Order: sequence, then structure tokens, then C-alpha cells
Amino acid sequence: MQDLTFNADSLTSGIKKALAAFEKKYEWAAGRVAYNSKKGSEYQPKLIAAQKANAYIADFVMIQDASFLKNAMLDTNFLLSYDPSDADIKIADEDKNPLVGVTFNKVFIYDNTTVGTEQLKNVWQMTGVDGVSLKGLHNVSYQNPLGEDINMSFLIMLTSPSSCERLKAAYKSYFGKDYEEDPNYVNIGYKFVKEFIQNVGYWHSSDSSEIKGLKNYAADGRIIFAGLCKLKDYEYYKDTYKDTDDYYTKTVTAGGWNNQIEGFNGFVYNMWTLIPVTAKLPYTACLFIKYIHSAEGYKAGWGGILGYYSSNSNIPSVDGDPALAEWKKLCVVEDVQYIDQSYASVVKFINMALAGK
Amino acid sequence: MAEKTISPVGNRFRTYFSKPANIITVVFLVILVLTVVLPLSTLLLGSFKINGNQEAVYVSTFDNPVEDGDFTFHHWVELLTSKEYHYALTAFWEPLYQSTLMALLACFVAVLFGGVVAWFITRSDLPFKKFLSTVFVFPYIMPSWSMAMFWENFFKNTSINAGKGMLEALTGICVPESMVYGLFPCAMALGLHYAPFAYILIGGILRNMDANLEEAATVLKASRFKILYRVTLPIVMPALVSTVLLVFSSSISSFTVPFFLNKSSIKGGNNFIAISIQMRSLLNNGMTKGQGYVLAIILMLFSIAILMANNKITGSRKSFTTVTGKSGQVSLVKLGKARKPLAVFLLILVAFFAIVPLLSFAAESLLEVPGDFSTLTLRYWFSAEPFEGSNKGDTVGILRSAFMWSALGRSLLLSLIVAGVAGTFGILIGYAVARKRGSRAASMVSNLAFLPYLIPSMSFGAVYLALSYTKGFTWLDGSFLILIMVGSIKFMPFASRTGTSAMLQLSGEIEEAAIVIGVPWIRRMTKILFPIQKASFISGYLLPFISCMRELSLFVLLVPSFKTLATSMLQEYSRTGLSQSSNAVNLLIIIVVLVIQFIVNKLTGASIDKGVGGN
Repeated sequence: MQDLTFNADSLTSGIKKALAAFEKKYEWAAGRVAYNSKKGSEYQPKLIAAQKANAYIADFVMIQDASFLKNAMLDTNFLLSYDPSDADIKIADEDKNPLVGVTFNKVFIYDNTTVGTEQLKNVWQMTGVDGVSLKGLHNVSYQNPLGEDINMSFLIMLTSPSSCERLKAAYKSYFGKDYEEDPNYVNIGYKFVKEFIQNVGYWHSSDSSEIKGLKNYAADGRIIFAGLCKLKDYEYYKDTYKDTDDYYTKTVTAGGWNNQIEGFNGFVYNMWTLIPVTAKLPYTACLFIKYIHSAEGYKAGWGGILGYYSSNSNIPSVDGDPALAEWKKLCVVEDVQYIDQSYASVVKFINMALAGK
Repeated sequence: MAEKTISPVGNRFRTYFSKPANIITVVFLVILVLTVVLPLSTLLLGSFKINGNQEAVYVSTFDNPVEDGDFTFHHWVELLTSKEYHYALTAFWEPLYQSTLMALLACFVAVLFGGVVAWFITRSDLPFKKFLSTVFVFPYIMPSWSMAMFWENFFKNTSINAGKGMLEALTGICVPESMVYGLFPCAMALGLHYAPFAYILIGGILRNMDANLEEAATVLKASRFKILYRVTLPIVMPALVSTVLLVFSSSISSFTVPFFLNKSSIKGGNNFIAISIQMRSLLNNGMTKGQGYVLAIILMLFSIAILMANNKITGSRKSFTTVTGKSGQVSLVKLGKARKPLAVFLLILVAFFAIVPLLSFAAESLLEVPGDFSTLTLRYWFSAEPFEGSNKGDTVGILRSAFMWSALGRSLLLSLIVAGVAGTFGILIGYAVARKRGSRAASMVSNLAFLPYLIPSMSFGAVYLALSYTKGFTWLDGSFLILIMVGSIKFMPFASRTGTSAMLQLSGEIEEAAIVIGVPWIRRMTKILFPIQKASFISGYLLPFISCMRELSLFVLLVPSFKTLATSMLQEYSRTGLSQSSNAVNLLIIIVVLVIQFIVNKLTGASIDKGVGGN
């Protein structure tokens, strides 16, 4: 009988670690698993090619980009969900199909020896305009949305009805008056996006590098929009807490993040865990999915790190990091339907703002 | 028994195929149609159809729903004419204009810097030629973004809130933002990266140019300017145009450099969106793939226009033959009192752009905290233990990582095979083009051989990826062979350009003499033509080798993660925030290329810089 290897494709190296632990737990899997790492934009063409040819690509895939998932993979029935729920794994119904594996957030991060929560209290500060009680800020660093899909999705989502409500409330608080519709903009979200883009002080090319160099920007008081999980890259500067139990939460206190900003505190988006219809080892894939949704498997992959949240509500976020449910209230949440429906128009608007028009 | 008669058509057929140049032309015409024209037609078709369900959602309107595969003009109309939020202007026309300026400036820098250094090394009595010649090609060995990274690290300063760079740290000087970010630094980084192209191509011709030509003009009392304009320039013109073509095409489609050096605020006025960034953004998004294809095609048309100009110059009957059967000599221009100051100036300049970046990579790979020399560590090179506190799982020092060694081994093997195939193809194409100069078939082969250079790397890889999922070709999926195929085709232009330039320099009388005494074609090639132009031909092997060693985008879709290449490792380290390890891999790749160059030099006596005149 042919000896098959269980192939797991994913952008996140957490899968690599979880797979290693999976091998240890199940002896029969030892030496018969392989982790393949691919950036989303580089992996999507492979998935599309496999879908069109109805060919084998892997036994398990973990991907982000809600619009791609829905239109190119789910609507074509190429990727399937498995529900691993049991007594220990509690997953909300809306996260079951497609099955959410891990949720991430991008938030406003800074060196908290110089910035702190006092500087950034309202999102309208990031348009550079002074409010009634607070000053505009000009040192926000944002990754170019033309090179980073998540940042583009975030800007698109800011024009959604739910974001507009948040922005209107923050506007009133910041400027001391109600927002009056501006004929130059479709809604308040468009106004915010344009003024935000034109006020960005620095367009960074990599969240990881930016967070790693956070200390260099202390004097500048730079506020960086980046994945909260990237704070793990800041650890290299802080050997002090290396041997303590709460290594991550201690070390990352040097890099602060704000979750008390009026308006919104960042962006929440998912990474889904799915099984291709052409998988050769679908039952192993189910077992592996169950494993990474269990406390043991999640700990092996992402345990103890800020900014990663399991869809299993029995697994809490790390000490010092608010729970996912809390983040969802505080942040703009990715909504594939809104992105699909508004993409054509909003992206043109964003291009215009990026060109300084 | 009836005597066999041969029809006039059969006779013509036999006569045609009795000449090796004709056989080569026909064989390569078939190969290039299959490997270049078909991928190109995929791009073209993609610009006229709905590419997937995601794009169907984007293009569909309430009145006009579309489906995957439907024919449409939408992508062309949308990108080129849409007035909604000035979309066509901001997403296409302005980036195209700015990127064209950037590419032209990069060409100017490359030709000026590379050409001037080539002239000094080949035509003057400048000292330290060997050293200058050896290190001048270093920037080309590095990935282009390395130069961009170095540029930023050197010029960034606190006056623009970018942190302290080397220049500010050493001198306190803060240059304006327009010198650190935006169009100008992008053009400079690209120009410096591609200057070795100009150096190799122009230098190769200058070296072989018979000084009698210039001396004859001097005897006839021609002015210095007239000699330059009527003698030297026409001779180096094919190389000059080839350089401009290569640099322009590479620069305008370069993604990493504008992405890296485009960090300033929009209000600062130095922010510019390069056309390559737009193209990558459109191609990577499932909703706008078709528009990405439109952009790729338009960029190719730009380069094709330069290619046609190139053909007009090299395809005419003007002779650029510089190597004849007669004796030739090279007399060096005496620089007199300027000799030493010029040498010192060039040494500093070349060392600055070629050696300092290497030192900075080495330093960055040894520092725990970038820029802080109190945090020196060797662990990113030598640690056998997984990095403490690291979230990178089994990441160890790159020299202790079996995974890294096997990736480097695969990169090396791939590059050697690709160089072998592309280099040999290049010589054969060069031979056919030179011997059948002016014929339509030869010109078609020459142009087709160059086209892969104009196709964006990732799109080229995507076409072959789709092929590997096609029935009958699935055995190619994840195979090493598919990497060899795409690499050989994609990097053939370097070899075909150098092969053609070298063959065009050779006078027909040399081969004719051998034909008269009945020397077979294979012996003429290996015993006469190759040895005469060995330096240029070896360049035709080395250029694909170097390019393949540092290539990422082309292979990224095709290489399996468990059989990765060194550049994929570099990207992975960089993506996961391990800049020390990525700098170390970058340095390792450069060292490997230099070692290979050294070995080639020892074994064959030829090398890129020797071809120009480093010896």
C-alpha cells in the first residue's frame, strides 16, 4: 500500500509547531507529516490551479482573505469545513462554516515609554486635525494597502455602515458637534479614509521589521498599525524576562498598544482551517483540525503569545490581552459581504487618496 | 533502374537545412513558440476574460452579470479610461508616467556609471583595474532590494523621522526626504544595481575594439568628439541599446525597490506609486487579475518598442565587427597626472556601492539589535540550539541548519543547470542571428528569445504552474524539472544578448576560412568561435547563473516548501522578522556566487570582469 504523507499548507508557522506536537502525540504520524509555508498571495494561484484541475494540493489548508475564500474556494466547493465541536471545543455557529482556526488583530502599537494611552484617545486624531480637547497626530505608520491585502480590507471596512456609526460617535466626541453629511464624500467613512491616508506620516513595508525597530522610533513617538502578534518580534530586545513564566506579556510591555481609543481600536480578521475536496487523507485532516482547536494543540502552535485567538471559546487569550469577544467589540471586524459589494468603488477611492488627489 | 529525381522544393529544403544556422533557427523557433508565445498568449487572453469567480463578482453589475471565463473588455476599459474617482489617472496613467521617468533615470545612471568605469578599465592606463573590475559586479550579484535597503540605511535621518542612518551618525548631515524616499532614490538604487550590466556589455566591446580604428581617425585629423561620435559610439551602440533595454525593462517592472523606498508621507510630496506596485496589487487580488494582465501587457509593449529600436540598430547592414582575422591592438589612453586621483576616486566610489553594502549585511547579521554594536552575537550563524525565546520553532544558526544547506545546494544545482542550458541556447541563438542577420526568421528568434525578460516573473511562474496542473503534465508539479524549464527560458535573454553581441563582433571570414578547409560545424564552434569570444560567452553563462541564484518571484509558486531554495529561505526569515538570518543568507548567496566565479576563472581563465578587462 502506498505510504502517504499528510501535507498541511499554511501561512502561519504556528501550524508547523502544532504539526510537530501532533507527530509526537500520534506515533503513527511520526515522519509522515509535512508543513508547507506560502504567503497568501503566492498560495492563492496554486489553490486556484488545483481547484480548476480538481487536483490534489494538500490535505489541510489554513488561509486568510475572506473574499478569496468565499468566491474562489467555497462557492466552487473546493474547500470543505469540518466541525470539531465536542465537550471541550466550543465554537460559535458563525465560525463553523467555514471553520475559523485562529483570529488575528491589527492594532495601534507604540513604544510606551514615550507615547502611552494619553496621546491617542480618538481615531480622528489620526486625520491630523485638532479637535476640541485633543491634538491631531502626524506620526502614524501604516503599511501600503497596495502591498498588504489586510490593510486594504481594513480601509474598505471603514466605509461600512457599522464603521460609520462608530466614526460618527467619535467625531462628535472629538469635534464637539454632530457630523454633517459632506457632499464630497459618500459617507463619513470615505472622509475618514481620505484624511487618514493623507495624514499617514510613514508607509512601512513590513509589520515585523517595524515592530522590531520600535525602540528606534521612541523619540518620534511613532504609532504603528500592525498585527498585535508581531509584538513577539520585540522580544529580542528584552532579555530581562527571558526565564520568567509570563515571558511574552512581560517583555511586550515595552511596546504598548491602545484599546481605549474612541471610534475603533484596530481590525479583527480570521484565518480558516479547511480540507480540500481532493485531500488524500481527509480523516487525518479532521483529526488535525480537532487537535489545533483543542487546548493542547492550540498551545503547541500559538500558546502564550499575544494577538492570537482560538475560535474555541474555552481557550482564553494570554494574560494581559483582552478576550477575542472584547476585541470584536473594540475593533472593526472583517465582513466579506461588505468587501465584495463595495470593493470596486472603494478601491478606486483609496487609489485616488494614495495619489494625493 | 530509374534514376532518382529530387524536386526543386526538396532540393531547396535540403539546401536550407544543410546550413547549421538554418537548423538552429527553425529548432529555436519551435522551442520559443512553445515556451514563450504560449505563456504570452495566456496573459493576453487573461486580459480579455473573467479570471475566476472572485473577478466575476467584481465585474458583474445588476444589469450585466458575468461568469468565470466570459469574454470582456472590462479590464482594458476600466484601467485605461475609468473616471470614477480618477481611477484610470491614479491607478494607471500617473504611475506609468512616474515609473517611466524612474526607469529612464535608472538607465542614465547605469549607462553613465557602468560605461565610464568600463572605458577607464578597457581604454586607459588606470591602476587597480583588477580590483575595480572584480568588485564592480558585486551590486548585480545582490538582490536589487539589498541596494535599496542599503540606500535607506545610509541616508535616512532623524530630520524626517526615519531613525538615524549611517551618514547622519558619521557626519551629522541630514539629507532631504526626496533623497531618501521616492522616485529619485528608487532610480539611483536601480541604476547602481544594473550598472554592472552596462559595464559588462559595453566593456566587452570596448575591450575587443581594435585601436587602429580610432588611430586611423586621428591620422585623418578627426576631432576627439568626431572620433567618439563616428567611431567609438557606433561600435558600442548595440551594447548601449541592449543595456538600456535590459535596465529599462527591469527597472520599470521592479517591485521591491519602489516598495522599499516609498515610505514618505503623501504631504511630503515624495510619495509615488510605481506602476509595478499597482501591477502586483492588481495581479495578487482575485478581483482585479485581468487588470493586472492588462498592465503587464502594456509594460511589455513599452519594452518591445525599445527592442524594435535595438533591432533597427543591430539589424541594419552597418558592420560592428571588431574581431577579424587580422591583427588588432589596443592602445591605452594615458591619463597622466589625473591617473592616481582618478583611481582613488573610482576606488572609493566603487567600494562604497559594492563593498559597504556587504559589510552592512554582515554587521546586521551579527547584531541582536539593529544598529547597536553592544549586542554583537554569532547565534544567527552558528547556534545549534533553537533561538531562545524565539517563536520560530526550530530556527537555528544558518550554518547549522540542515534545511538551509539543502536549500542552498538546490539553489546552486538549479542555477548551474539553468546557466548551462540558457548559456548554450544563447550561443546557438547568437550564432544563428549573426549568420542569418537581416532575415525575418533570425530576427523573430532573436526577439522571441528576449521576450521572457519582459514577462513579469510571477506571471511567468503562474503560467507554468497552471501547466503543471493540466492533464498530461501533472508530473511536473513540484518537480525540479519545472524549475529548470522556467529558469532556462526566463534567463535566456541574458545569454542570447551576450551571445548575439559576441557573434556580431566576429567577422564571417574566420569561420569561412575553416569551412573552406572542411572543418565540421561542431569543431568550428568549439575550436574556433568559442575560444575567440570565450570571455563574452562565459558571461552568457554567468549572468543566468547569478540571476538564478538570487531569483525569488519566478520560482515562488513552483517550488515546494519542503524542497525550498535559498532565496525562499531568505524571504521566509525576512517575513517572520528574523532580519539577522535573512541578512546572513543574503551574504551567503553572494559569497557562493563569488566562489563559483573564482572557480570558473581558475578553470577556464574567463570571468565576467575578465571579459571586460580586469586582468
